[in-house]
Amino acid sequence: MKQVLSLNINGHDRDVMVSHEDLLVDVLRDQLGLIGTKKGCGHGSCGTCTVIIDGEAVLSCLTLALSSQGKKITTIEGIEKDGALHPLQQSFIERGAVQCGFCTPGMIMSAAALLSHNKSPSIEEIKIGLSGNLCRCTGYVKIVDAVEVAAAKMRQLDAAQKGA
Amino acid sequence: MHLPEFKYLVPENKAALLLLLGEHQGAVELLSGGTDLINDLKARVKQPQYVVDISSLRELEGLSYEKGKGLTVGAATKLAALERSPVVKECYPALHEGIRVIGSPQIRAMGTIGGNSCNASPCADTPPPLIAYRATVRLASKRGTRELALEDFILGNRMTARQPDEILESFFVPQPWPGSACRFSIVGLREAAEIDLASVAICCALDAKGGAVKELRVVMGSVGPMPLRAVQTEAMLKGHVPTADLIDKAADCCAGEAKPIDDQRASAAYRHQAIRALFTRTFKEVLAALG
Ligand SMILES: Cc1cc2nc3c(=O)[nH]c(=O)nc-3n(C[C@H](O)[C@H](O)[C@H](O)COP(=O)(O)OP(=O)(O)OC[C@H]3O[C@@H](n4cnc5c(N)ncnc54)[C@H](O)[C@@H]3O)c2cc1C
Ligand code: FES
Ligand code: FES
Repeated sequence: MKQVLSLNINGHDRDVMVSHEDLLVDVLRDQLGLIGTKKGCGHGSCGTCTVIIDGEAVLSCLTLALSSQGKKITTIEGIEKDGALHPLQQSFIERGAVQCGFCTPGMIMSAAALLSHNKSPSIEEIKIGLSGNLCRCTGYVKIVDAVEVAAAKMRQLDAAQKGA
Repeated sequence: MHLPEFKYLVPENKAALLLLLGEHQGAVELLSGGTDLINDLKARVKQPQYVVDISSLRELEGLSYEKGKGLTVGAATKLAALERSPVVKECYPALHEGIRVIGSPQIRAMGTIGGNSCNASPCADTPPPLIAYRATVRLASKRGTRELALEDFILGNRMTARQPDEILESFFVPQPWPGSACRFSIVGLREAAEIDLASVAICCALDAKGGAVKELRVVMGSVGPMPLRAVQTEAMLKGHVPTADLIDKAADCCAGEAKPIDDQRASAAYRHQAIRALFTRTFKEVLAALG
């Protein structure tokens, strides 16, 4: 049985037709064309389907589309601002933290949630923050590095804004 | 993978939820964080007619602590919220550890403490420390409420004492024994997103005079169909000063009380040894914390 569902995604209300058993990851990818969010294991283990719902990094492969109603959903497509890349996206490029790129959207969403709770994470805290995201290419060193660089950049931007 | 067909329902409040459960007894699965349920639906382990979403019922969420009495936690409280709670970290460190080691940040942001016990996996990480802390659960249905010890609630692998029309409403974790310390340790294959091979939670209070073991609970996880209390080990230590020799004997006894199985992750023989080592390490940590 299908019904209309209104989802708030990346700041916009989007109407979709969903079945009760549809998963958020499939609705994002197949109906809304938001294919930045990837589907890897489909079981909660790899983290590549990570999106931010109401400020928390969660797994869209274990979330029913219907239970996301009334919540604020942010996907990788929604973190740039007015065409400028998010500092995390920029530092992933600059630090060479992307190889095949399949894990990257999930990594960035987990890192974004981490930095919203903790502006100056230690390396250990970054590793814990990303522990639900698997990368089969990079060996993680450059990813952790990129998050550290982005955190520093964001603190600078914050300070500059406060100073202005 | 796609889910089997079901009807999704969101009750407005707890009263409506209990009515719904009474009406559709046996045809309902509750959806809290969904981290266990969605995978069980995918695997067709569960094929309910109705999936009833309790994740937005604020009445089932939150924690309150009364010093000297204990901690009350709503069943739908997120693991991440408990992990961040200073009260849990300071007054219930073994529970904090049990939560910290669960899955990944995303799993802890989604999963709930109630789901962890209701799912009744033998490898669940919060039941052993909760049982060591003498936690009780409160079950509610439209027939009324009842309370029982968590160790009497979890009956076996994926089996609980919950009736089909009942919900797990909350946990009560009493104030730890005066002058006690409690610790929890696990052995696993890797740090994140994996399943324990064995775990041990120990709560212990020593006699102020003489230093004999006054109160003790030893609970093992992942080495039986449900969390197991090492009652013989508890009896062996109670009333005695825990010398190195006695701790060694108790570790053997504890390993003997485990009932592990062979599976693809470890052999039963390895798990017996793991329990022995975990008991020794955890008990020494408890003694060190007691000073
Ligand atoms: C990748 C991954 C890693 C994991 N790692 C760990 C780990 O390391 N340690 C660990 O212990 N667990 C782990 N889990 C399991 C799971 O995340 C936890 O058991 C979690 O606490 C379940 O909570 P939930 O709210 O998501 O439960 P749900 O999936 O919503 O529910 C689980 C079951 O309990 C029932 N239920 C839930 N709440 C209630 C209630 N209030 N009253 C009655 N019934 C209820 C549901 O109907 C369902 O049958 C992992 C899961 C995944 C996917
Ligand atoms: S696809 Fe969701 S965690 Fe792997
Ligand atoms: S870059 Fe390929 S999986 Fe991470």
